[in-house]
Parts: sequence; C-alpha cells; structure tokens
Amino acid sequence: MKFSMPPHEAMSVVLIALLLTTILLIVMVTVSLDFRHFNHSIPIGFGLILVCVFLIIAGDQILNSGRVPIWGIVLFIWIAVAYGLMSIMSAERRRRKVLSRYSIKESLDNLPSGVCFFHEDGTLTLCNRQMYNLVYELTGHDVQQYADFKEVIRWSSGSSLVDGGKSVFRIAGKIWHFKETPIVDSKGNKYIQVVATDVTELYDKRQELTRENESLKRAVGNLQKLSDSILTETREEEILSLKMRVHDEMGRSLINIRRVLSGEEPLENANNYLRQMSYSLQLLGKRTDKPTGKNIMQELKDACKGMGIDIMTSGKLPASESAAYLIVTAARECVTNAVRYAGATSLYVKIFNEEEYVMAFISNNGEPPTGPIVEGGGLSSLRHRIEKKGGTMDITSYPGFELRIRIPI
Amino acid sequence: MTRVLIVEDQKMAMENMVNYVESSKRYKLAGTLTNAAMAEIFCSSNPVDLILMDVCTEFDENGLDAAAVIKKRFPSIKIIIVTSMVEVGYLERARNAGAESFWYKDASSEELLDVMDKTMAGESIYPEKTPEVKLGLASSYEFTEAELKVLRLLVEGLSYEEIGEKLGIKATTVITHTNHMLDKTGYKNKLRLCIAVTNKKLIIPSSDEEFE
Repeated sequence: MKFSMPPHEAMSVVLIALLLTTILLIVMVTVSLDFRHFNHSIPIGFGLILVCVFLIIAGDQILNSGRVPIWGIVLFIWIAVAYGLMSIMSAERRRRKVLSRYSIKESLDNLPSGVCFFHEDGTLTLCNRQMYNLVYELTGHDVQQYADFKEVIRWSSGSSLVDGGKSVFRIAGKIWHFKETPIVDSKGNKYIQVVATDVTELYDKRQELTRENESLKRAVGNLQKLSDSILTETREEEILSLKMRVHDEMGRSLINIRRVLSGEEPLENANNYLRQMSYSLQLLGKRTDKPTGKNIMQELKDACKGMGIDIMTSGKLPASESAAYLIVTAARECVTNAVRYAGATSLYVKIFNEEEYVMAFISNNGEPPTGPIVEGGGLSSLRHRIEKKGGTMDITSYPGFELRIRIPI
Repeated sequence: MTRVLIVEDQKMAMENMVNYVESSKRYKLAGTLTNAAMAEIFCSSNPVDLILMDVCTEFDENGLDAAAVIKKRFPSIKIIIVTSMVEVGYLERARNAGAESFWYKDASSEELLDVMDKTMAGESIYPEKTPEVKLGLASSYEFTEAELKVLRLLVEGLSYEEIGEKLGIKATTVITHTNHMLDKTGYKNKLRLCIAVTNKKLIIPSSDEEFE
C-alpha cells in the first residue's frame, strides 16, 4: 500500500475526492426530500454517474502511471456502502409515508362496517374482513362475483327485514343495512362499492317508537272518552252545588218560619221568609236537563225580528242535528253581515235535501256587494266548520251576494 | 239601571244569576241566551250594558269567542266571563278577548254582585291566578309556562314529535318537560297525568273546532 504520492497526484486525489463528495451530497439531498412521485431511477442514475467518473479517473491513472489507486478503491467502497445504506434508509422512510396495497387492506379491515368493491365486470376486487364475515354468515360461503352477491341479497329473505324498501338484514344478532354505490376511479374504471352498516341501535329505537306510538294511540282513545264525559260531569257538579245551596236556603227559611210561628220573631217577617221559601221551591221544581226538540231556525227567526230583518226559508232543515246547526249558523253569519253591510230587511234561505247531502243557498234583499267578498272572522270560522264536516262553501258577489253550502250527511 | 244579558246554558245556573240581577235595584234583566253565538244578534236588536257570559254554552259555542266578537262591535258593552272551569288558558283568552272581568262560579271569594258593581264602575276584576289545583304531589302552580304548553297538547293526545312540531321545539325537549312534570307530580306515566289534569278541569281538551 502506498500512502505518499507526488504533489500533482495528491492534487488530483483531492479534486476527485471533492467531486465525489459533492455528487454524494447532491444524492443525499435528493433522496431525503419527500418527492411524491419519487422513483428509484434518480438515485440509480446518480450512482451510475459516480461509478463512471471513478472508472474514468482510475482508468486514466492505471493506464498513465501503471499504478493501481488503492486509496481510490477504498474511497469508492466507502462511498458505495454509504450510498447503499442511505438509499435503504430513505426507502424505509418513504415506505412509511407512502400508501401501499397492504396499508389499504389493513385500514379497511379495521373498519367496523363491511366494505367491498366489485369491478364492473363483476369480479370482487377488494373485500374487508367485516364484509367477508357478514357474507359468510348469510350464505355459509364466500362470494366472488357480483351476480352471486345480488343473489344473496335477493334470496336471504329468511333474515331480511322489510324496512322501507332498503336492504336490511339481521345477521348474527345485529341489524345490517347494505348500500350499493357505483363509483368511478381517476383512471375511469367503474366499480360498485358495497357498504354494510350496523343499524341495530337505530332499528331498535324505531321499534320502540312504533310501540310507544301505538300505546299513545290507545291512550288517545281513552282520553277522548274521558274528555267527552268531562263536560257532562261538570254540568252535573254545577247543578249539584246549586241544589245544595238552595237546600241550605230552604232549611234556613224553614227555621225562620218556625221561629215566627213560635213567636220568637214578629209576624211581619213571615212574608219575607215565605217568599224565600217559595223561590227555593220554584228553583228545585224546575227541570234542569237540556231543552230538547226546539226549533233552532225558529229561534233565529225570532231573534232577528228584533234586528229588523225577516228570515224566509224554503225547504226543511235536515234530520241530522249537526248539519241542521251548520245551516242555522250559516244563516246567522249571513244575517249579521246582511244587516250591517247590505242594509237588508229580508234573508232568504233555500234548503235542498238530497239523499247523500243537503244544500243551502242564502241570499238577501239588500244592496249587492261592491267587490269580491273578503271573509272575516265569522265567515272563515264557518268555512272551517263546514270543511271539517267534509262539506263545501262558496260565496258569489255578482249579481248579488249568495252563500252556497253543501254538507254530506 | 244597567241592562244585563245572561248567557248560560245550565238552567239552574242561569236562574241563579237571574235571581242576582233581579234582587238588585241597580240591574235589570235584558234577556237570557243559552247559545253564546246568538249574543251578537241579541245585542244588535236589544240595548245591553253588561253581559254575564258563560264559556261552555250550547252546541259547544264558546263564550270567549263570542266575547271577542262583541267587544269588537260593541265596545261599550261590558263583559264578565263566568265559569266553573279551572282551565288554565281561559284567563288569558278572556283578557285577550277584552272581557272586563272574570268570575269563577265556585271558587270565587267575591260575590257576583260585587264583581258586577265594580265592573260597571270601571274596574277590571280578574282572579290573580287560576285556583290552585292539587295534582298528585304537586300543585298546578309548580308547572312552568313551557310545561303547561306541552301538557295542553299531551292532553289532546298528540305524540312527542307532533307536540315538538307545534311548539317549534325538539321532541327530546318535549320528553324532558313531560318527565319533569311526572317527577313533580309523582305520577307513573303521562296517561295518569293527563287523566288527573282533565279530571280536575285544569285543562279542558278542546272541542274539534277550537283545536287547529
């Protein structure tokens, strides 16, 4: 081994060393940068350049001086090893940062949902562990073709649940919802993505809700009956409390009369006490149930006479009490408006009774309206009541005011 | 002399009020009606100064609605709403309708004649609050406004979602209010709560027409 050398040789050794180090530095920088589309050709290229340069210089040395550059070879080996180590290290670093097929599969397998992809030609491209398990539970074997998969979905009627037309299955005690989505990747390849989601909790909650709603509906039925009786009960309570008060008053009157009779009180007071007693007796004697069978239309007619308007009717009120009351209500609404706005003195109510419905046309002899009728509070609440009973109401203002109602019976 | 119209469909209650009116020299009976919807026509054809208006009258016609109509058309007629229903909403509705005074048939400490006198003198007599009603372990005063709103709709038989929609709140909030009320009263479930509430007339489930 020769360590010392002539000066010009030493100079060239230094220059070569510098050149090689520079190239090495460039390679290191390139390699440590995280180029997205880094590919191995760059460092390999640099390596080749390095080797060529060395060989040229070494070759020149050997040819020119006949001596083998031992130091050069040592240097070269050192560089080569350093370079090799660095490439490995950077590749390792890159591998951790860059996605590979394995990393995709690993992350998919960790998902709680089932995911799989079918190519447009029907082959299974990618399937995660959960989806594989689900399909196996459903069918007892795995599925490699989209057509087979569709069969599974269609025929697993034993475990499927109808839930708004979606594919929902009970698999291994949980409820799974399968959803297919066509997707296209960046290269234009078409796939079908199938995702299976665990909707057990949602499904259970929905069942619970349906049950709650049903029990609520039953409760509503009970409440309706209850509320219907409330009014009756209240009336009866009122009557009872009044009766009790009257009873007490009668008792007092009796005591007072006895005192007059026994001389404790002067005779003049007798009249008062007797009057009180007779009044109490009258009250108790009167009937307290609702008056029945009165003619509501006649009542309205009588009331209106005082207003200066006559109601003339043709046709009879229908037998149905609710329909009859609606017609009288309509007449009442019209009467107030007729007097206020049209200055009418007569209201005409024509009633037509058919099998399935009754109609009433109401008009008056007052001034015709100057424009279309705007339905105020009374008319709109009348309309509301009529439509609630399934009827119709129409108002025309030309040539004169006319209200037409039709009520099914 | 004050001319009084009495609107009341219960014969005994009406006779009682007639008695009050006729016993006083200050008042004269202008007429009696069993159907609140006829009040407007009556006032159009007869002179009336004061109306004693019952809330629940014949054919389910509501005295509060009639009162509102009359106050609009005949603002000078004074109205005293008379009822035995403890229903929570009536006080406010009566105020909104413009009724001068409000008198509870059973629970009022003031005599009707006093209320009539004061009303004609220009005073407005409203009970401070609805009479307290005991509901299970709680009293009706313990419920908040929001809870009462929910309770009213529960009594109508609406589901939690429907109540939430109507009030503009989430169904979970409705459930929270309901649970609070159940806690306060000690009732086991909302059905019992609703029954208690309607039994004590704290809330009267509305007739078809009213509820919309």
